[in-house]
Amino acid sequence: MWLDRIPKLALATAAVAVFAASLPFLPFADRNLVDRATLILIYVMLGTGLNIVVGLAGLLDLGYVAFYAVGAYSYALLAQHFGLSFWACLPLAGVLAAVSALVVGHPVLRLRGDYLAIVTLGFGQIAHVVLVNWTALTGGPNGIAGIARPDFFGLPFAAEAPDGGKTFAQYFDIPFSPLHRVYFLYYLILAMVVIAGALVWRLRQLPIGLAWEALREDEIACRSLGINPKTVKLSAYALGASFAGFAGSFFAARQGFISPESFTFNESAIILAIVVLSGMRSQLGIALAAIILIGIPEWFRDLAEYRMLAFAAVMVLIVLQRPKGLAGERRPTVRLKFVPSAETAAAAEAG
Amino acid sequence: MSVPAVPLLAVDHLTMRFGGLAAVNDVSFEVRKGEITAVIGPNGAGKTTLFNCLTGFYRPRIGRMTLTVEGGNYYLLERMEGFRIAREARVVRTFQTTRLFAGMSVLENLMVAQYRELMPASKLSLAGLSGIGFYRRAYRRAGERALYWLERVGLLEAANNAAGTLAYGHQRRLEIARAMCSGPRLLCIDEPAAGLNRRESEQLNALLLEIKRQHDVAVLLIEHDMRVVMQISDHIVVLDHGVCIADGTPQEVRADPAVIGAYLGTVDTAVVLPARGDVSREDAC
Repeated sequence: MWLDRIPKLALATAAVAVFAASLPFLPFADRNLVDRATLILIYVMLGTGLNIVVGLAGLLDLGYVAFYAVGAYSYALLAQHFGLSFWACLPLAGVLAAVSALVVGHPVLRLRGDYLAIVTLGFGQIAHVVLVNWTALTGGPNGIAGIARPDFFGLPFAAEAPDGGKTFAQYFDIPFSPLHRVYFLYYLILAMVVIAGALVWRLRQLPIGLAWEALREDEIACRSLGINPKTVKLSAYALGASFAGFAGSFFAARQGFISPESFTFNESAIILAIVVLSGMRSQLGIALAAIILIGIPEWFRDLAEYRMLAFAAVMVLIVLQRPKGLAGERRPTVRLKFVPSAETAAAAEAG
Repeated sequence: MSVPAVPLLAVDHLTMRFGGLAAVNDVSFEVRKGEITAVIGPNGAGKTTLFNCLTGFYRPRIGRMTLTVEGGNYYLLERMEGFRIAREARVVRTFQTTRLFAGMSVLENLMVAQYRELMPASKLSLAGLSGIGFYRRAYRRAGERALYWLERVGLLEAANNAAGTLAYGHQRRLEIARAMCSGPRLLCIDEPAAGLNRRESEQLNALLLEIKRQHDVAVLLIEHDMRVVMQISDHIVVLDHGVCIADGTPQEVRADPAVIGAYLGTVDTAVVLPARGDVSREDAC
């Protein structure tokens, strides 16, 4: 049957993607649910980026939130000072985050293992301190408010267009509803996550992706095969950071307000927990881990101070049941399609 | 066989010191294309240090290592970074304790080894992402080469298995296949027969001989197993305490009193070797 030939993991991933795409139209979906799903998807995006660095290249990065902040502040500042639109800022935020990763990574990535973790932890803290103290640029602890909201390719989501043009609702001739923006943001981040996931999936089959994984396995062997560890590490670090940059500018656009509070070490730790919990091998794992880590504290709000207890219980359960992570099995990205069995190989050898 | 005038690799007066210890002391020898050169010697003789110098893991301060390629161009290995030695001079090594990418599949190990050719073909991964024709052709070539070597080392059935799950002897052969996939000019193999049984060791001999005959590569081999060394090498360099004490064909080396002394120990009255190594180095190397 054709189903047999498609890996189960790909099938499950597709099923989750279809479910995510139809979520706003399901009967039980309300604004609240879509909002929470949007938040979860931001973390899926961040997890996808950090997974390149930690899961594939094996570089333990505890300061990933710094690049998230770079993305968010890039959008906020560019939009405020230069009046750039969200769509112009989105790629710029990714590029700026990647460039800052190159600048930071160049001296730092010669370190390995625990040492790298400590230095990146330091960089994350430095980024936070800079955001708090550079009041002239970042607004300090007060943050930046009134960030322009994203529009639908030039059509604003509002009851009345400010400059006399058409709003989204007027253009499509539908009654205005504040839900439009919520749904639009949801689909926007969903599209970003799908594109990011597909990109990583494809890159893993390319020489650069194989080199990332080889680097994780054995750096010395990489060197002896002519792979420059530095460029390979930097490429993983920069690409991971650019994903955080995209997520950051989306975050700023969604909230309309950012402050250093959103970019503390706690965030780095949560993103890393998502990556570790996912098993570090698949997009599906990251999505499930994000749902559990971000969703559960949200959904168990009614338990008030006991909700962290529920969270801990789930974590213990996962550690006991899936010690390798939610989807920890690694499938080779380059596969031989028709593997001869032992008998045919022996026959070929004899004949 | 006509011997080319310029050897592929010329090592001149190589010295590597760790504090007061000269692990490799004024060693000179040559490696020629189409030959298997074996480096032998008792434990601690400096064989692996020599390999580490050749492949850029150590930076020797004294001596020169010249790799001459077609057209008379040459690389001075002592001045190059490790990964450049593998990428540009194409001196590729295996390790005494295998260093496979254990979590990756056998086939992937061989594909990673072809990074040098595949990475430029993927044009910063952009051509690779779009799956454009010339990348696809480079990729197919790489796949065919990987399959060729898989078949040669008898690991075709295990192609999709994680390299770390292979039996020890298979891991050894995979490491050689991986090194060959990277297209070396000089293949440095560190103790390939260690821990192999007799049959595996014979298979290994056959593999090394085939590499020598069918592929345009020189082999430099560290080996303890004399059965392997004497059977397949064209040329043997003997190290002892970092010093080159003999250099010649297997027959010459086997008969050399300095070598016998180094391996079996000397009784001062039985074999007279004033300042062991020095004299024989003068005339042998």
